[in-house]
Amino acid sequence: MKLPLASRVSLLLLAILAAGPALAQTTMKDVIGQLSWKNAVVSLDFYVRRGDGPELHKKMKVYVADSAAGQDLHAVFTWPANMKGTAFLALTRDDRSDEYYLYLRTLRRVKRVPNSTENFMLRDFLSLYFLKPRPELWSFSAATPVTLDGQSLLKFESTARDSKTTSLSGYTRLIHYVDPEKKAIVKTEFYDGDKLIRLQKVDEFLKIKGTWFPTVFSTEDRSEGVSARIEAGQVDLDATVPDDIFTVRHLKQL
Amino acid sequence: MERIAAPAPLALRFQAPPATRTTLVWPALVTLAALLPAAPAARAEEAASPFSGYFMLYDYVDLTRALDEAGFLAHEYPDKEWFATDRAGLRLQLRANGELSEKASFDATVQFDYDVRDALRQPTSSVTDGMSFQLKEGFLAFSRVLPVLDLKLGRQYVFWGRFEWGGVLDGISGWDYNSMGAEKENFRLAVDAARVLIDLSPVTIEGIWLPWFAPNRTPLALPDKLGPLPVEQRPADVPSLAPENSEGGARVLLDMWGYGEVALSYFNGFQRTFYLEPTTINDPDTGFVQGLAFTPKYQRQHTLGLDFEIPVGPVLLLGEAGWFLTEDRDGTDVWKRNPSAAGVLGFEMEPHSRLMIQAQAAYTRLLDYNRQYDYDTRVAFGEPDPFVPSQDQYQLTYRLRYRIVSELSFHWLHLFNRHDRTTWDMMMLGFFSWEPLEALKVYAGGIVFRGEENIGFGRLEDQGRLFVEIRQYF
Repeated sequence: MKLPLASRVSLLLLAILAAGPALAQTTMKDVIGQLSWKNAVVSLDFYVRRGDGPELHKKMKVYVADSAAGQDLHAVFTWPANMKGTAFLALTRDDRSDEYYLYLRTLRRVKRVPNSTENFMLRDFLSLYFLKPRPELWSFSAATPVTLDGQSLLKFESTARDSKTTSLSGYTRLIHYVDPEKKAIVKTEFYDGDKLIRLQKVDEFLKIKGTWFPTVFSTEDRSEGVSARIEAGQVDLDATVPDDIFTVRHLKQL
Repeated sequence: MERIAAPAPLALRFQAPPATRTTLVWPALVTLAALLPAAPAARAEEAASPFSGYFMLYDYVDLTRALDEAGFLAHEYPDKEWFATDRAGLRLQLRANGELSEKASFDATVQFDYDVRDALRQPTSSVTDGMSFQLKEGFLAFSRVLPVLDLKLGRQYVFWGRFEWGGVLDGISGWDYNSMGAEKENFRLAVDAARVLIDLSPVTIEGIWLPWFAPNRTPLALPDKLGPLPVEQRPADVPSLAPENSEGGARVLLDMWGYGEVALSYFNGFQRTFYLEPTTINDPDTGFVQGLAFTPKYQRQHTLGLDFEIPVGPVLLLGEAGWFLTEDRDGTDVWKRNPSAAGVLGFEMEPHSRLMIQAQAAYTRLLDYNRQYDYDTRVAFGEPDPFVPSQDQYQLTYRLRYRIVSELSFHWLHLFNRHDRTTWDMMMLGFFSWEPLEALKVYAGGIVFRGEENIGFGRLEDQGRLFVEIRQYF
């Protein structure tokens, strides 16, 4: 049976109206829940450009894991030789008592880095898509349907819980754009007040063990004039990660 | 106490050593030739390759005459040539590192250096002149040998304390004062050691044993005469390889539950810098003093240390304190350094994403010290008017790193020592680092030393250099 055009349009409208609230009901909790892995090991290529300077290529290996107290991240440069072995360790905590450490191979020293550092490289790295969104730092708004570049997305506004968040992250507000199908963040805007400081955008995802993981994404820090593209070559979710990789002890043994 | 001494006539000058010529050069070249075929794999951005390193061209120019003519230096150097090349050549550094098993890894860095001047400059020059080869670093690391124990065996850098420069506890890995430059690996010396880390969280115990002593590299040239007496320089009396000359210590670190780290340490070893022990040269028949001989010697020292780092907001507070018990227990040996107590307090911060600042102040007090006694004893020995430092000494240090544009940064370091009310010395190191292309780094800058007396950086006044290093990493 073929329905008249008017009926078809009406049904379509009804479907949209029914789906709209369902999409909008998606929360950041769902987005975080989609990232169901407990740990990840990622080998990546990092292409960085400052201003009009040359594009510099680095290789890194990143380990991330959920811990009882928060999330841990260990990243080590594997190429080029002048950076090979330089590593940092971030122990993020649900109570926001984060600890950051840096192993500088040129100095052969492990250094504590204050967690309210102005070191934007470290800050920016921690706000890439390796760590899951941190509800202890941000209050997430309800989803608002938006269309961005022809794509229907959900917009979540994240407000710093207090000045401690701003001190840790360097931002007062984030806007996440989420693909409602994947329940994955595809774009994030980082603000200081109303000033857009940074843009971050996922170009490619890969579905691994049921999880949409961003494998190619880019970031553009407007205040520093730095842009970067990250290409994850190999991603192992829920891999076997050495017990002590997230310890200062491990850094000291490098 | 009033200042006693006029500028010292005992002009202990430190000079660059002759280029290293060693029979190891050819075995080294063979080793490098064997390893180099693997290097292109590393260049092809295969991060898993165990090989990496750099190729470097360098040029160091002697600044002494220019600084002297500008009135910057305390001493005069009329014999120095303007902007003479101090060293120029190429260096290949090759590092191999990787995992041998789940619990074992290796890390070795060899360095081949060729000062290109030496093979050409003399009628008798040989093609191997100016070549040197060294194992910069080479160790095996074992993780979890026991559940709480890690082990590192071999040549490695050991830095105790918290400060890159001017720390009072940083006395294990030595300094090469002939090779000061931009990168730390140029002028710090790895030591042969066995090192254990015992993890008893939140406490970590670090134990270290060095089978033999390795001194700072500060070659010495004495004046021809001291007053009317001729001076003879004897070879350095370096502690032998006997087991009793081994060194060791332990450090207990406490992680203060996220609030920082504090460490207690003890090290029983030798001072890395020599003292000069004088003897008279007597006529065998008459017994009359005919001259003076000086022997560089190294004295054993017990060091008890305390150091900490505590993050406070955006600032990292750093501190070190040490008590140093030397062989001159009662302060009566005027040639050896007295026992002392010292402390350093400083901070490090990045007030802006482009700027890093570190500043610190240090205080040292010589113990069991009688300045007049030291002065009188040295005069009685034959030194016309020796300089002996004040009992209390101070040091100020600050360091900056500023990213100017893109991949161009400026680095600045200034150390200032005050030995008494009118006597001081200092060191300044400033350079630009630039990364114009992938893995290509250029360092350009200079280093200068100044000091009225022949202590501290005053000894290194003629080591002022301008330098350029171009490194291609692979």
